[in-house]
Amino acid sequence: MTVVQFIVTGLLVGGVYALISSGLGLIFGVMRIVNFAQGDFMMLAMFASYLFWVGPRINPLLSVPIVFGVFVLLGIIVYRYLVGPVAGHRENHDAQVILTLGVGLVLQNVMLLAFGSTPRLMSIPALEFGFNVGGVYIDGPRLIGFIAAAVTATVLFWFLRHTILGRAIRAASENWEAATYMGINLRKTYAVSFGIGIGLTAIGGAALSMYQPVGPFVGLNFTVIMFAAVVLGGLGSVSGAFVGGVIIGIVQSVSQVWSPSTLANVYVFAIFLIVLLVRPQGLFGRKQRAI
Amino acid sequence: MRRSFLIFTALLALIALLGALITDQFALQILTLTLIWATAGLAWNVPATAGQISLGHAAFTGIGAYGFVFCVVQFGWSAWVGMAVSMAAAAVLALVIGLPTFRLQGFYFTLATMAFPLILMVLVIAGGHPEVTVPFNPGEPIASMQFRDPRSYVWLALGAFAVVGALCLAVAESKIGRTLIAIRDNEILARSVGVRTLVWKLGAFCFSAAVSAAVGVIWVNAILLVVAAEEVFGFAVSILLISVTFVGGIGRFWGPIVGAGLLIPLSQFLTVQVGDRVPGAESIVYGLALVAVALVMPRGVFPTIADRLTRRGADGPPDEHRTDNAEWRALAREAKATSSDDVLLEVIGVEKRYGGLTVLRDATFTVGAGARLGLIGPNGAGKTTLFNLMTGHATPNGGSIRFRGEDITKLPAPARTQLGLSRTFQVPQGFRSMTARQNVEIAALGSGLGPAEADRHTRAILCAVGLGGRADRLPSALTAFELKLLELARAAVSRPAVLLLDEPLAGLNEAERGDFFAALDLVVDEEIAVVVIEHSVKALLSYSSELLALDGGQIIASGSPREVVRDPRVIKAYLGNKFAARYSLVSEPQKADQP
Amino acid sequence: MILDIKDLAVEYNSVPAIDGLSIAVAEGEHVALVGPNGAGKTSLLKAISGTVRSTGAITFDGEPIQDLPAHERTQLGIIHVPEGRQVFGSMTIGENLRLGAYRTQARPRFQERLDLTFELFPVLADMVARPAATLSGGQQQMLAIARGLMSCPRLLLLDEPSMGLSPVVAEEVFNSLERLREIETTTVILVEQRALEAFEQCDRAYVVESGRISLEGATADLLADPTLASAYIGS
Repeated sequence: MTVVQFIVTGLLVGGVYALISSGLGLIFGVMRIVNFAQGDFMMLAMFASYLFWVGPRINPLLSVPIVFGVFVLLGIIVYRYLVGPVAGHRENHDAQVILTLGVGLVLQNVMLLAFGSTPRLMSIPALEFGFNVGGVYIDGPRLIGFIAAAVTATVLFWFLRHTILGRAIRAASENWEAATYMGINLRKTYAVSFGIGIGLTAIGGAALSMYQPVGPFVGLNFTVIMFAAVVLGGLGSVSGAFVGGVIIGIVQSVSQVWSPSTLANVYVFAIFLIVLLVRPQGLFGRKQRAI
Repeated sequence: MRRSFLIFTALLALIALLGALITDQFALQILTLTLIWATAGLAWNVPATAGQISLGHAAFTGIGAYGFVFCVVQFGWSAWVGMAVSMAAAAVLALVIGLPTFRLQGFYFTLATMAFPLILMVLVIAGGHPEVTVPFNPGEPIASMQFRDPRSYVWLALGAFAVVGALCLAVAESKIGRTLIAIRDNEILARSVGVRTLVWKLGAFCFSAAVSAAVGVIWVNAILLVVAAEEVFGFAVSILLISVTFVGGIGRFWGPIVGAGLLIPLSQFLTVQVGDRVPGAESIVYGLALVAVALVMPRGVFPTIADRLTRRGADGPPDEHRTDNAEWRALAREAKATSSDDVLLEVIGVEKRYGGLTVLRDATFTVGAGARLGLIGPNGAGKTTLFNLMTGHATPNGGSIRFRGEDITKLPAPARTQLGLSRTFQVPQGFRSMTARQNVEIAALGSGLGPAEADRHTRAILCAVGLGGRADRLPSALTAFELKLLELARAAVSRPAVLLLDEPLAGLNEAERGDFFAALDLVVDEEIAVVVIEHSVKALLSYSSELLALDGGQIIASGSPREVVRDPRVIKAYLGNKFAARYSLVSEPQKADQP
Repeated sequence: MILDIKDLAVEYNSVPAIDGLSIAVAEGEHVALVGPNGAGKTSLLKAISGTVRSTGAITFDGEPIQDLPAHERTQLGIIHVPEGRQVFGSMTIGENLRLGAYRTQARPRFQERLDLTFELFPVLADMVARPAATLSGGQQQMLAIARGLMSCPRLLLLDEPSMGLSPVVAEEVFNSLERLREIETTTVILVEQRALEAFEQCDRAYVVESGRISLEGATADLLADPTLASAYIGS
C-alpha cells in the first residue's frame, strides 16, 4: 500500500476520532473535568445505533439525530446528579476521576450483562461501497464517517458562534468569573455543555458503528485516542480536539508504512507523552492554568 | 505512634489467625489477593500523600511480573533474586519516568502516567511475548516461590504486607510523612521552607514502584501463573490501586488497608456467587461503590469515619496570648556569632518581564545586617514580584542578586532558605492538614536544623509569639491574627539572616497591628535584617528605618520614611496626578513647558 | 434608596476583608469608593454583585438580595465591571458586546444599546471584528464598560477603571463616564485609587480603610477635608 493510501485512510478515520474527541475536549475546555467514561458513553451510543438497525431497520445515518438528542439529555442528567456534585473543588479532583472511572465500569459491565462480550458488526448493505480515486481506495463507511464529522464540526462551530447558549458556553469556558458578571448561570451552562459533549461523542460512536464491531469494552481503546487527541490539540480548545483527532488518525495509519500495525498505538502514546512534557498546552490550548 | 503500631501488630496477628484457620482454597486466595493489593496500595499511597496521583503503576507491576519471569527463565536465578532485580528495575524506571513528569502540575502528571504502562504493554506484545508462563519448579518450593499449599502464599503475602506496612506506618507518623503532606498541601510553601520537593517526590515514587513490582511478582506466582501482558500492564491494575486507596482514604496510612479490605473480598465474593450467572456483576457493584464513595465520602471511608470520632483541632475559646520569649532569647545567645557582614543581600539592576510586559526594571538596592526596610507602592508596582525574585520563586530576566557576596540569582528557593533567606506570604499560607506546631517544625527541619534542635527552636518561637497554648490546633481553628503569628513563627524559626514579610498586616485592626509588631520585635534580634511590604504606609512609618517606594516596576524613591512620604513622586503614585497637584505638592506641567 | 447595605462582613480564609460596613445609595447617584489598597473596596463590589459570600443585609430596590446567586443579581440589573477589565480575549469586540446583552431584559434592546455604546466609545465601532485581546489597555477598559452598559444596568459597579492606564488614557475613560451621565440616569458606584478623578465624577464618596468606612460625605466637602490624604499615606 502506498503512503498516500495510508494518509487518506488515516484522514478519514481521523475525522471520526476528531468527532469523538471533540466531546471530551468540550467538557474539559468548559469545566476542567476529565471524563474517564467518555469512551464508554461512545460505546453506549454504538449499541444504540446497533439496536436501531437490528430492530426497526433504521440505519445509523437516520438514527443519529435521535441518538444525539437522547445522549445530550443523558449527559445533562449525569452531570446534574453525578459529575456536577463532585466537580469544581480543587480537592476533589481525585473524586472526579474515581467517579467517572466508576461510571465507566458500570456502563461497560451493564452492557456486558445485557449483550454478552462478543462484539457484533452491523452489516448494512446500503453502506457497503467503496471506490477508487487515482489508485487510492476510499472506503464508503469511513468516508461517510468523515463527512459526518465535518458536518458536525460545522454545525458545532456555528452553534458556538451564533447562538446565545453557544456564546455563553464559550464565555464560561474562557473566564467563568467574567461569565458570571454577564448573568450567565454557570450551573446550567455546565450541565448543557456536558450534555453536548456526550452528544458529540455519541455521534462519533454512531459513525464508528458502521465499520467497527460493537462490544462492551470497545470504549477503552478509544479513550486513549481521545485523550491523546485532546492533549495534542490543546486542553481547552474544541477546535484543537478536532485537529488533534485528525492528526492522531493520520499518524496511527501512516506509522504502518514502517512498523507493524500492532505498534500503531505506541506512536499515539508517544505523541501524547511528548506533548505533555514539552508543550503541555498543546497546539491551540491556553497556557497552563493551575488546575 | 506506639498505639498505631500496636493496632497494626494486632491486625497482623488477626490475619495470621485467619490464615491458619481458613481451609477453603478460594477463601485463602481472597486473603492473599487482599493482602497483596493492600500492600501495593500502601506503597501507591506514599507519592499520593505528596499529591502525586499516578494512573500508571501498572507499568511497575508489569515490569515486576515480566522481569521476574525473564530472570528466572533466562538466567536460572532463584525467585527471590528475580524479585529483587525486577524491583530494582522498577525503581529505575520510576526515576526515568519521574524526572521529566514531576515538572507537570498535579493533574497533567496523572495524565502522563497513564501512557507508560500502555507503551510498555504494546512493546512487549509486539516484541513477541504477549504471554509468558512462570516455569513450573515443584522441586524447590522456597527458592522458586512455588508452593503447593495456597496457605504458604498467604504467609508470603502477609510477610510483604507486614514489612511494607511497618515502613509506611513509620513514615506516616514521622516528620517524613509530614513533609510529604506539606508538599501536597502547598508545594510552593514547602519549597519556600527549604524542602527539596523534587527529591522527595522521586523518592516516594521509586519506593512505590519497587513495592508494586514485588506485588506483581507475588501476584504472578500465587494467582496468575500465566503472565498476560494485557493483565499485568493493564489499566485495570492502575484503577484497582487508585480505587482501593481512594475508597479507603488517600493520604492516610489505614486508607489502603481499609479500602482493600472492603473492595477485594467484595468483588471476589461477587465473582464467585453471581459471576457465572450474571457476568460482570461484580464489576458493576464495584463501579457503583466507587461512584457512591466519590459522591458521599470523597475523602475516603477511613478519614470520614475516623475524623468524626476524634475531632481534631476542635475549636476552643481563644486563649490569652501570653508571650514568653525567654527560651528564644537563650537560643539567640547560644547561636554562634554570624560573620559580621554588613551587607547581606544585594539586588543589582534586576529586571523581570512576563510576556511582553516589563513588571520590574532596574531594581538596585542593598540590605544590610539589622536593616528595617519597608517596601511601599500602589497595586501592581512590582513589590511582590521583587520578593519572588529575591526568594527564588521567580527568575529575573536581567540583573543579579547576591547573598553574602555569593551570586544566588538562579539558585532555587529551597536552597536560599537554607542559606538564610526566609519569607512570609500575603495570604497566610499554611499546611492545612498539620497542627501549628508541625507547621513550624517543617520549616525548622527544612532550614537544616537537626530534629532535636528543630524541636527546641519550634517550642521556643511558638512561646515567643504567644501561640504556645494553641500549638496543637489546625490552622483552620486559628483566628486571622493567630495565622499571621504562625506565619511569622514559621518564617523566623530558623533565625534567618534576612526575613521578608509580604503584607503581614492585611486584615488586622489597629490593636492587632501593634501586637504584631511587638511579636516581631520579640523574635527578631538586632542582626536580622527585615524587609516588609505593606500597603499601609502609616504602619511602616514607625517600624522602618528606611523606605523604598516602587511604582510601575521602578524604584521611584528611597531614604528615611519621613523623606520618602513627602516625596512628590510618591504622593503622585498613590493619589494620582490631579490630587497631588491640587494639594500643591507637585505642579502640573504647564502647557508652555511642553516641547 | 436603590441600594442599602447594613453590617456587611466578608472574609477570605478566615481573614476579614470587610468588617461591619454600611452604606446607602440613592437611585441616579454616582458614589465613589476610595481608599488605600487592600482596604476592601473590591470585596465590597463583589459582595454586592454576589461573586463572594458575605454576611449582613443587602437590599436592592427594597428587596433583600444577600441570598441571591450572582447571575440572578445580574438579571435584576446589578452589573459589575470587574477589576482588570476581564474582557473575553478570544472573542471579538462585537461578541463581547453581545455577551454584555445576555441579560434577558437587555436582549430586545440590543441594537439601541449598541448605538449608545458606539456613541460613547466611537473607537470601538471601528474595531468591532477585532479580538479583544489585541486591544490596548485603555480600549479594553472602554470595552469592559461598554459591555456593562449593554445590559441596561440599574446599578453599575465600576472597579478601578483607571488601573494600569496612563494618566492620559485614564482621562479618556473618565470623560466617557461624564458623557454617560449626560445620557443615562444609571446609578453608579465607582471604586478608584485616583481619588480626585473619582470625586470629579461623583456626588458622594466613602473612604474605606481596613474593611470599614472611615470618612463619608459629599465629594465637595471631602476635598476640603485634610484627613483625606492621611488615609492613604499618613503624615
